[in-house]
Amino acid sequence: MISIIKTLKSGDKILIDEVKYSSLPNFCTRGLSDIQLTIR
Amino acid sequence: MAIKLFIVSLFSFLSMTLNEKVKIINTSDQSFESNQLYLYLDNDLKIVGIGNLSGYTIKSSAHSHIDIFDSIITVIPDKVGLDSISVFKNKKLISTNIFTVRECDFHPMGYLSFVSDSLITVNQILSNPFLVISNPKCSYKFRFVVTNFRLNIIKKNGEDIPPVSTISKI
Repeated sequence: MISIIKTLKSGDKILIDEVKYSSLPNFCTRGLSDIQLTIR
Repeated sequence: MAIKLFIVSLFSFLSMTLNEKVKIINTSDQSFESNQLYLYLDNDLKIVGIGNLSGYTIKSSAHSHIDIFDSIITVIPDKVGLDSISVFKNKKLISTNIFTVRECDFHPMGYLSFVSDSLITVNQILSNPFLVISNPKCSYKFRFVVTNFRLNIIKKNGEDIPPVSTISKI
């Protein structure tokens, strides 16, 4: 995956979704908002 | 109200006049000095100045649930307001500290490479290729573990790159 990142150019976008996580101490796993970033 | 104020003032006075070397801090708070407890959460209190808690008794004025393990006191408050945590040895008050119990606003946010901006450089990603989660609206020290996420690349030139699922690290 790092090799894909290295090919990114200015204006390309990254969208991170379907995030799953666990949290302590309450083990709450509500959905996390998608993260969208643009390559500078 | 006046009685409550009197009791708070009395405890404040007592906490100043009691053993100055003994201090109760909430290690579950990012700021040890905040004197806050978080509702329904494990608040790990440490008594600075006392190594071994055997022979000591811990009491909560708000009757919060208390567990003691080694040198850590876990307090789980079940109502907002003030809670005085007091340390006794042989029924003698050693130290007391007034905490404010508040709700923790739980709205975790995800950050790639610790960047909170919407713009990022390739070098920033390569130097820290991790997705991390924090809860910026509350200073309680949650511990988050990302178990999975999907990475989608949208190329400016329209090139199609299939999404990739991964575990915490890009």
